[in-house]
Amino acid sequence: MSTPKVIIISSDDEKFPVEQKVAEKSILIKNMINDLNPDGLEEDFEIPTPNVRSNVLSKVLEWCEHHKNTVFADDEDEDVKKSLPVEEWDKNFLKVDQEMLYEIILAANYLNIKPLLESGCKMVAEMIKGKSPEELRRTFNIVSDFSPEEEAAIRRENEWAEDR
Amino acid sequence: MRGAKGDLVSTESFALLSLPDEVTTQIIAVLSQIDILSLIQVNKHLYSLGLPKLYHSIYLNNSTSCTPLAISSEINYPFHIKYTIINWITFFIRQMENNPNKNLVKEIVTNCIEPDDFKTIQEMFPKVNITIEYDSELYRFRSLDLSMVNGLELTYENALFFDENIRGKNYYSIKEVGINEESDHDLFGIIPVLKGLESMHITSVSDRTFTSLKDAGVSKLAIKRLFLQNFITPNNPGDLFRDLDEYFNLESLETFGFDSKYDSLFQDLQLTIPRLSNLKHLFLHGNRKCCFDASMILPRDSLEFLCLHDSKENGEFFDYDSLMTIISRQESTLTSLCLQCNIYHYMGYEWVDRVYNYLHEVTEIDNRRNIHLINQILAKGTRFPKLDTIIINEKYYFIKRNGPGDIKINTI
Repeated sequence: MSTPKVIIISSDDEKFPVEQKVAEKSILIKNMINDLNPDGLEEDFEIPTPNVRSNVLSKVLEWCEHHKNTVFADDEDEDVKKSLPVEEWDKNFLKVDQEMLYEIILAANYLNIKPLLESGCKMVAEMIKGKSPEELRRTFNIVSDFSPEEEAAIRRENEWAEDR
Repeated sequence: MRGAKGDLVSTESFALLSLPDEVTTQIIAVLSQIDILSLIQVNKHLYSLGLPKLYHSIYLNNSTSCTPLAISSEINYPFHIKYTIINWITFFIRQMENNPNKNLVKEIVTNCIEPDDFKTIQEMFPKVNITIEYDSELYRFRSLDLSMVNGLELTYENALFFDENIRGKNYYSIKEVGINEESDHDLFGIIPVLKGLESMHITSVSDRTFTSLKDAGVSKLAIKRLFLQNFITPNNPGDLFRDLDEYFNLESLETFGFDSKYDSLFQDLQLTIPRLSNLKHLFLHGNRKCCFDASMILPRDSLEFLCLHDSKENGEFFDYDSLMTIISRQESTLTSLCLQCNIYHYMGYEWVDRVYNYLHEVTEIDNRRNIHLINQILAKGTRFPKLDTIIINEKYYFIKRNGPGDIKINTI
């Protein structure tokens, strides 16, 4: 008998059979497998992910497949991890259109795939870096909801933190 | 998850506002203060998410009056991301007095602060965890909980003050000590007591310094960072290098810096350098030949940071070919390169620049020349995949890669 697979089902009902090891990059799925199969998988196991569309799910699983043997550092060095640049493979992997990046981040958050979520967040942080408030509004298509007085107050109150 | 705010967002731009708050907070967590300052001015939602990060951890940097060793423990640390860095303490205190958000401050780190300012800050933030990162005149604090201190210079008064207060205790909070020409060698006995020691900065290195360290029981000290500056010795300073492994565990050193201005040093370095098996940051100061030779015996692809300070010969800057020979050996690991800068500029972060305002003004022509050099070094972005900070003549150049062969050089 072949090793049982985990079959992940996208919101649009596409089925993605993957190795258990790959699926378990998602802590959500890992916990689900362990809770429902305390003695290990004996047959294929289906998991629906009603929040994730098939094109996004396939992308996320591509990441899981690539990283199936990667050992990610644990949480104790949270601060150090924040300063590390996005790993080269992840960087190229996440060079997708804005909508896809957004969906991957949401999926990684929902499926609880921390390292993918972190890489995604850093990619967005890169878009923020070095921009003025006005440039940020343009980049992210945001309309200011501050009155001119409020804007002045914010600048005044946080002057202590300004570059000098 | 894409709530009512979704309609603000067009499909072409990233839907930042529609992300769940916990994700946005995670993005904010990797931004440094300047970017957060911008972000909180964008709209109310981003203001409410960004403000806590801006206030959470404050670093009051007073190190113009203090040896910057204080910061060395941060070399590997995401210092500029974790902290909001303030270079003007008086202004900070004044602005915080009536600041409605000051309860967002959770942690304050400072160095070489005036005792009066320190007291004011303690009173202003009674519930906040305050740490003195480093102090050269610790004794001025009449009463101070020494577990709040991370580093001190072993001057006579400091060491005495410290010694009186620590007798019988192991001080884990002390991560750094500095030894200078005024240090009282009788007090070196403190060093082995400091169980959390990570860095030493010896600014006057003599035979006597080492003898005293030995007498104090310093042996195979496992620290991460060591700086040796100003060799005061009638003999070849290399003699001191040869015995370095008696005092320090060379395998534990990640950061090593020294005055390399002596020609004779090289043969002794040859013995020392290959034993620095975990070295990531190297600071070389002086003699071009010595810098070159020392760099050539380093293992390939081991260094993340290389600083070649003042490595002139006959007034000439390190020539391009030798530079490339050295750094090509570190092609895949190098993230920061510091050329002809002060040895203290070891952080590779922009704020260091503001600490030392050198009179040397980088002209527009210098600037263009520097950018040209960087383009050459990086072969327009096809080489040195991790190199993102280059410091030339006190000017910081940040490299952003947009794709293979496409780089953007930002400068401050």
